[in-house]
Amino acid sequence: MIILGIETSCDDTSIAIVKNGNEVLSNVVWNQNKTHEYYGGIVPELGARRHLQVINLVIKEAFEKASISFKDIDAVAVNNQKGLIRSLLVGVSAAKAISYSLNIPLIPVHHIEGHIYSNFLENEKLQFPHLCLTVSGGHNLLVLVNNHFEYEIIGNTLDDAAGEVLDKVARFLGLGFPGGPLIDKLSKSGNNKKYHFPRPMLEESNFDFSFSGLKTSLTRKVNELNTKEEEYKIEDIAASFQEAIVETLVEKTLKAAKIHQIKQISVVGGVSANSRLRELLKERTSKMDLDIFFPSLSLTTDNAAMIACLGYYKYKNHQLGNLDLEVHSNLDL
Amino acid sequence: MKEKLKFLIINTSDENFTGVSLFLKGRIFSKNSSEERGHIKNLMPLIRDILMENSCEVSDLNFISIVEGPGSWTGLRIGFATLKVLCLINNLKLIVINNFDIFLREFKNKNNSTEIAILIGSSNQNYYYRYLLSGTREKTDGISSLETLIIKYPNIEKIYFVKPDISFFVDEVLEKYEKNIFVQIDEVEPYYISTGDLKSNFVKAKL
Repeated sequence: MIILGIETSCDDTSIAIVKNGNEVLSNVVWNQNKTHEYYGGIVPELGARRHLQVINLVIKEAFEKASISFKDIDAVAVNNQKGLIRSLLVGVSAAKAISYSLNIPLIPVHHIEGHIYSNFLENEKLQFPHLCLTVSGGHNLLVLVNNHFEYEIIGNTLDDAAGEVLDKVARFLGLGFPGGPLIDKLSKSGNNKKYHFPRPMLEESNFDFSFSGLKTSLTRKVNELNTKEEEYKIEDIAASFQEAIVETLVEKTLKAAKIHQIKQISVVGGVSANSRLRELLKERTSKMDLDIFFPSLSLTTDNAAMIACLGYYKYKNHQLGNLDLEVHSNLDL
Repeated sequence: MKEKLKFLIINTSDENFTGVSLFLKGRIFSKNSSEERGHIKNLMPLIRDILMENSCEVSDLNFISIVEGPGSWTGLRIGFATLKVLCLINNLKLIVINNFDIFLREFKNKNNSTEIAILIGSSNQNYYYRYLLSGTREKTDGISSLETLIIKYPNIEKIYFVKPDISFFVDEVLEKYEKNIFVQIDEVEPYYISTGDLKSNFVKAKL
């Protein structure tokens, strides 16, 4: 069974073709970083315009890479449940046109659910139940994944998501956009113990996150250093700040796994590409008899392969949509 | 020749209107929805229904046409995203028509004024406008409030507030078809008029 996936929730236009839920025939992602760089963040209207400009080109490239034709597609899956409305509308419109033209089922899916399924594309050993940390610029959740489509959200961010804070801090430090990869790269040559930043909410009994205060802490520290005219390395600031975020994510996740007696942890979303997060989680889980799963780097950011993968399981479960499908910016998981 | 043509005209330029018309055997069949911001919900079902009710397949069409604007940016984008992909999958050509051009087609023989403006409603009490100086080819399209427009063009004699009707569109489409004026579907975009002046007006987000 071959599913075409469409993902246009934010600033990536992605079309993927996936066979039987895990064989990725193509996964084309056109990123808009250069479009939004000037503004230091995503401008929704510009994003939607770019999606429309490139949608046909991305579709064509996906079919060329997969070496199949339109008539070989059995169903089309599209994220219509989480993201920027104007961006989602382009993907959903395209999905409907494909569904109608080829007379194939339309499968609506949730963006975060797609990320959760990104690890099913590559890791056959990942089973139920498992604990999933979904962490990106738009979401920051701890989810107990008890079975297909059975989720229990046990932790959420009370303010900014980790990726959002990394972007904002990178902008403050004048590093550019998107901030996560830039801070990760800079941190490699910095001392992560040079400065101490708080580890928010680690003492709380719940699994929620709060990173907003952490970025205030960083701006204060940098302003203080500047006022005192103390010399400092931006690499040390970045590494110390990243360490605070990573340690918070890791500690909360491991605590949740222990309390809920979970043996497998899956980490997904853009921030799951962070090298320090991967390193620390691997190190800590290896000492605790826990399995840890990360998607390939190409599957960490927004991509349509995960949407097609999830679409496969939704199709098997008869969770289909109609041509009057609408979009939602923030539907519950 | 005209009687043998089969084509669709799609209009999603009005925030509160989704219109689909089928030209078949020299006649026009129309279906529409007046649901506010209902383009995403209604457009594809309207296309499906009008074709089905007239025993047509999308692959039977000679081409598709769409109103390029000006109008609701979101509505236009839904129309364009739908049609770009419909045309790609079904190997169909696309014709775009402009709301101002359609209005002028109807009025060019009835107007004796030297300076006129055509206005189409936008958001925040602004209008998409086309200013025309009679007897010349001078025209200016833009977006502004009515007050600003009058200050900018103090000699305007008549201002037309228009809401183009689908029935006016057919002649414009047929003329473009006869002149072979199709657009490149991969590159076509709505006629936004305004960029929103994003670079100068956008306040950089603060930490």
